[in-house]
Amino acid sequence: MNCDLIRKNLGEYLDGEVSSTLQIEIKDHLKNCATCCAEHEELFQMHDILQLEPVTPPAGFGGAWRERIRNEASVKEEVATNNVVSLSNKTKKALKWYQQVPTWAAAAVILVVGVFFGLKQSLWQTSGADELSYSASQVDEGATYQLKILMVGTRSKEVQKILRDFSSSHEGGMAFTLRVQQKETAVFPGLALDEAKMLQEQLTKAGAKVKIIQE
Amino acid sequence: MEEQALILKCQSGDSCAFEELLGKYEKMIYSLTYRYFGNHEDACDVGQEAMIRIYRKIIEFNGNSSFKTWLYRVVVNLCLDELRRRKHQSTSLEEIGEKGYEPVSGELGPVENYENLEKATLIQEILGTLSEEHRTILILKEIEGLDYNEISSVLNCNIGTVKSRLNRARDSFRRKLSERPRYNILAEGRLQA
Repeated sequence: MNCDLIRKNLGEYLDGEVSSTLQIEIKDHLKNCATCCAEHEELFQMHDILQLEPVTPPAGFGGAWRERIRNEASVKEEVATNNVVSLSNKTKKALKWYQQVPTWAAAAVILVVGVFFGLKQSLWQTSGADELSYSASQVDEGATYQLKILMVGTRSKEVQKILRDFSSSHEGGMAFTLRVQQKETAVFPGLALDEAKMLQEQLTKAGAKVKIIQE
Repeated sequence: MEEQALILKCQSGDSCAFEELLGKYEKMIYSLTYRYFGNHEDACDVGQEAMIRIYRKIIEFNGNSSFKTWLYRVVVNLCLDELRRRKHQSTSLEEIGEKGYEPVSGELGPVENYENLEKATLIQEILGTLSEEHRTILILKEIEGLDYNEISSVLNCNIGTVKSRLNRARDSFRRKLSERPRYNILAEGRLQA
């Protein structure tokens, strides 16, 4: 092992943190190399000079930190007690509020739930092919249907084109204008179920909302 | 009572158990803070703060390292925080050094005691001029006598970093030591002895 490697490991050698093999190698090298030996001696001197006795704390130190810990502990205890008290007050307030308004709170909950389910039921009846098939299953085979547009959507030109094309091939079709998108507009009466479903599918793809009603 | 049982009692909020447990480490903690600040006034203040911090944090001790190593970590971090805080307040390390290093009283005879005081004062002066990183690793290794594994755990770094940092810190310390005229006197005295 050369001197550079030996010097690089001298600190670890001094600290007893090298492997036993390396320890033997370094020990042998130091016997024969005056430069590395001097380096080791200097390192050892520094290590020796740094060996200091622990500093004894002054007389008041022990009492001072113990007093601070006791203060800290009492503050901690006080905070914990206050938290319990404030929690208890909060709970009481919450209970008081609850007791004061049970009637209107219950009414509001019932109202909200009722509106939600009513709305859901309405949407369920008016949108999508699956809903239509449910409605269709309730009617006779020979019945006729009327298709209504509930909302045209943002792609009105596309919707108009579909309606024009359908109108040209459907004898009973009626001409109409799409002036007010939000307005429910009757479009084609007297449709067979398959025709109504096909038109509904095209219009839905174009972004319109439509409804099929049995006549 | 065994240390483990005392720690558990401390973690459940027993301040008497805390006093008993930390009473055993009082000297170690004080000595460590003294090595960072070099005077009793600061060592007392920071030492007390260290006790409070340990009291607040002891609940976080999970036994992954020894309790002593954990204590070293908390106290070293506190000392470094304090040094940085002072640095931000425009108090440089040199200014702390200029504040003067109080000699540490010992229990030896007058002559030996004088030599030890000289040596301790000199070391504190030099430690005060080192970077926080070098000062910390020299305190932990040379003065406190921790091994590489313990140092890596205290500083939360790997063994390789400990080795390289220690080598650099030793080089720096040796350079500064050789620049001091008093070092030669001490070295001569030691060789004669």
